[in-house]
Amino acid sequence: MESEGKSPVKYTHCELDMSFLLGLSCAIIPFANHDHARRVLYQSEKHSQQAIGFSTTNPNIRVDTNTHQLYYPQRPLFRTMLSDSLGKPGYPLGHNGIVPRPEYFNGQCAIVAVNVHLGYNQEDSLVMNRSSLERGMFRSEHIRSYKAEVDNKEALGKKPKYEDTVNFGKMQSKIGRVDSLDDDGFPFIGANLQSGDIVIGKCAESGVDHSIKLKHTERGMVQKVVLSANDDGKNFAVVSLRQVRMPCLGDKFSSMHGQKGVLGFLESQENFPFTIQGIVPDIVINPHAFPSRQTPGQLLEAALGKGIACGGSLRYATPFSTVSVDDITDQLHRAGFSRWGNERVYNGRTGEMIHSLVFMGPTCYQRLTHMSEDKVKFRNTGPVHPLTRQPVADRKRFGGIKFGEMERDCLIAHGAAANLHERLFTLSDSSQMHICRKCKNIANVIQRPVPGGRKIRGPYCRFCESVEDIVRVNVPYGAKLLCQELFSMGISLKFETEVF
Amino acid sequence: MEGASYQRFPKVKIRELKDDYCKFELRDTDASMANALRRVMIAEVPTIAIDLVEIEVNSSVLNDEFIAHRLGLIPLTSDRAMSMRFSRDCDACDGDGQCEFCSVEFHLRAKCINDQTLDVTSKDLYSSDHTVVPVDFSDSSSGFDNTEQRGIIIVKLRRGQELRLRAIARKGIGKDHAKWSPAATVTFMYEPEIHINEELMETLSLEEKTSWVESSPTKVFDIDPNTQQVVVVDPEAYTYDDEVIKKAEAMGKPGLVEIYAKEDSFIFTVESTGAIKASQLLLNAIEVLKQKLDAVRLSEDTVEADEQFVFHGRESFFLHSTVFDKY
Repeated sequence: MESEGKSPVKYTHCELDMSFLLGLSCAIIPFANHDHARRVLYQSEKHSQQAIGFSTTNPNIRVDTNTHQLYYPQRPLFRTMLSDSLGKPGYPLGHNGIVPRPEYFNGQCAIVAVNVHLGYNQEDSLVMNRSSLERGMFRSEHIRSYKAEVDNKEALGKKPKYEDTVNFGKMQSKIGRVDSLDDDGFPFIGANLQSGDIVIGKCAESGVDHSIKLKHTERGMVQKVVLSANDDGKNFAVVSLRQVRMPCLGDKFSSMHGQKGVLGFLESQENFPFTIQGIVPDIVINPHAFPSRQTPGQLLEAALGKGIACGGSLRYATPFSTVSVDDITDQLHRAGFSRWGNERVYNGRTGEMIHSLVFMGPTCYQRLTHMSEDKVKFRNTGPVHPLTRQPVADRKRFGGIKFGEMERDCLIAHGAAANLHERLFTLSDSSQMHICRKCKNIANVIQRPVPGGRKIRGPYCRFCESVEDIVRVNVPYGAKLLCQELFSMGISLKFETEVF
Repeated sequence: MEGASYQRFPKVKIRELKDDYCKFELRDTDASMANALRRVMIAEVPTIAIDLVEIEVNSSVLNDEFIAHRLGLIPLTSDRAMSMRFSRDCDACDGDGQCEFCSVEFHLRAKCINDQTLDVTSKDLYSSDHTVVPVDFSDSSSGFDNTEQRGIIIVKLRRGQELRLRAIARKGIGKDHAKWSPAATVTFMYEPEIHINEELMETLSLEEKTSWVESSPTKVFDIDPNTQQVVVVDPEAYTYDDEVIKKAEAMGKPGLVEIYAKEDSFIFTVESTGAIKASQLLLNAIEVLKQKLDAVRLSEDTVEADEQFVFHGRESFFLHSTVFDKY
C-alpha cells in the first residue's frame, strides 16, 4: 500500500478470500477459475446434486423413498479455502464438539489416465479398471422404501363394514410370490425379494387382494420394516429394500469439472498400461474431452493431486487464489515425476514401451445417480395401448422403445422397405378391415338376418346393402381408428383397393 | 530354417528379497516373456480367499454384503493354494465348498459388551485349517508400529452390537476376482543404456551442466566434483520420461545423450499382498505359465487346427493358381 500520509481507511466489510464470492458447491471445485464457466455451472448445479456420497449420518433410522450411499467415500487430495473454513481437518467433531464435521465432497480419488483405450472411451465414455471396482471402488448401496396403510380400527371409533376392512396379512396371492412373507404380511429382515414378489401383504376380510407388488425392474434385500400410525387414523408400514451395486456398463461418472461420462468398458488390471512404479489407472478418459470443453482445471487437479500424493506441501486448489502452474510442476519435479504430469507407460498386453507419454494423476471422481440398471428398457412382446393397440412406451409397464420419425427416415433412406414394414406394422398394430369395392367404403362386420329366419355374422356393406365384392385389407390399427373417428364426425374415407 | 533353434536361456538374478518384496533382473529374453510373467503373477496365480459368507447375526452398522465384501478382500496365507482344487472341479464334494480339498471354513463371533468401541479384525476369524489363516503383518520386518497392529479391521461395533458368521474360503485366481490376486504390485522396466556424448558435453559450461543434470526428476546423472564431468550415477533411476533429452534439445544440443532401452533385459519389482511370499509368487507364476504351455501343446484342438491350416493352405494355393490362369 502506497498510502503515504493518508489516514487508514476504516472498513465495515471485508472479503476474506476471493473464492467466497462463490457458493458452497462452486467454491469447492478445484481450480474453478481455470475452467469454462459453463463447465463450472454443470458441476456446481447438476453433478454436485447427483453425486452419490454419504449424505447423512443416520442412514439406519431413516426411511427415505429412495437413497444412495457410497461404500467408501473419500475426501479429495486437494483442499480449498471454503471446505477448510467450514470445518478444519483435525477437528473431527466440528466446532461445537457434538455434530460430526460435514463433508462436502462426494467422490473418490481415482488414478485417471488421459489416453485412448481400444476405442472404448470414445464420445465421453470411460474405461474403468475392473480390479479396482472389485476392491470396492465406487460401490454403492441403494435403499428404496415401500409404504402401505390400513385403517386403524380403534382410532376410527365406529366400526366399518366387516367385509371392507383391509388388514396386513399373508394370503396366497394370485399377483405375485409371497414366499418371503411372514404371517403378518411383512417380509423377514434379510429376505431376498425379486421382481414381481409381494413386498407388503394386505388383504380385505372378503378376500380381495390389496398387496403391494414389486415392479419388474425392482428387487433387493429387506433392510428394515417399520410399523407406525398417524393422526388421520391410519396404521402404516414401510418396508425398505437394499441393493448393493458395483459400477456396471452405462453407469454415469463425472469429475468435478463438468466432465461427465458413462462407463464404456471394464478392463482387467493386467491389460492396462502400467508405469515403472507399477501404477495402473483406475479410469481412462479420452483426450478429446478437453480441447472443446476448456477444462484445464481437471488437468491441474490431477497434476497437483499427484504432487500431494507424493508428499508435496502445496495442497490448496482454491478458486482464484491458486498456486501457479510453475509451482505445481516444480512440486512434481521434486517428487521425481515428469514436470507436466506425463509418464512413460508399458503396454499391459504386450509389455512393450508405449511411444508416447501418458498424462496420469489422481483426480476426484463422482458417481452420479444415473445408473443403467434403473434405465434398461427391453421387450419382445408385451402390453399394448388399449386405444391405439400400439406397444406402450412406459418402462415401468414393460414398454418398448419408440421407433420414431428419424428412425423411419433412416430406413427409408436405406430402401429397407420390408424391414420398415415389419417394424411399423407387423410388430406394432397390425390389423385388418373390410372394404366394399363397389362404393369404396368401409364394410363393418355385423350380425344381420337372412331369409329363413337365421342371423349370420360377417362383413356387410350398408351403403350397397350387399355382401358382394367385399375385400379384406391389412391396415395399421391406428389408421382404422382414424377412419372410424372421422366417420363419427361425418367424414367418410374412401379406399381404392387393388389386388396385390 | 531347419535345425535353427530359437531357444534362449533366460537368466534371473535376484537383487533384493524380502517376504513381501522382490526385485530381480531377467535377462536374455524378450518383452513377451517378461510380460507373460507379469500378467500371470497378477491374474493367474491361485490364492485362497473368502468366497461364501453365511451371516447368522449382524447388528453392526454395515450391511451383510458390505461385510462379506470386506471379508473377501482379507489376504489369507495361501501356500496350500497350488495343491488345492478349484471348488468347481472338486469331485469329493457336490460343489457347496465344504470339503477339505477345496475349501476352508472360518468362524467369526464378536459382540461388544462394554462402552468402548470394539474393533472386529481379521484376528477374530477362526480358521478350521491352521495353514490357511489371515495374513499377519505384525511380525514382518516392516517399519510399522507393531504394538498397535491388530490385523485388518472388518467392522467396528458399539455396545450391544453383534456379528456372528460362518465363511468359506476357496481357491481362485485374480482373473475371476481381484481378491484372489496375490500381487500388490508387479512391474518391470527395460534396463536403460545411457551414452553421454562427452565431446558435446564438454561444450557446456558448468552452469549449463548443472541445469541439465537437474532437469531429470530422478537422480540419474551427477557432476563429478573434481573433474566437473557429467557422470551417470544410476542408470536405472531413469524412468524414460525423456526430460533430459528434451532439455538438451531446448539447450540447442540435440544428441547430448542417447538412451536406449535394452530389449532383452528387464528389472522386475514384485510386491505380494502377503498371501504368498514374493519369491513363491514368482515360482508359482512360472509353474502356471508352464501348465498353460503344456495345455496348448497337448490340446487336440491345436493338432486339428494345424491340420486344418495345412489343408486351407493348399486350397488357397489352388485358388490362386486358377486366378492366375484367368489373366
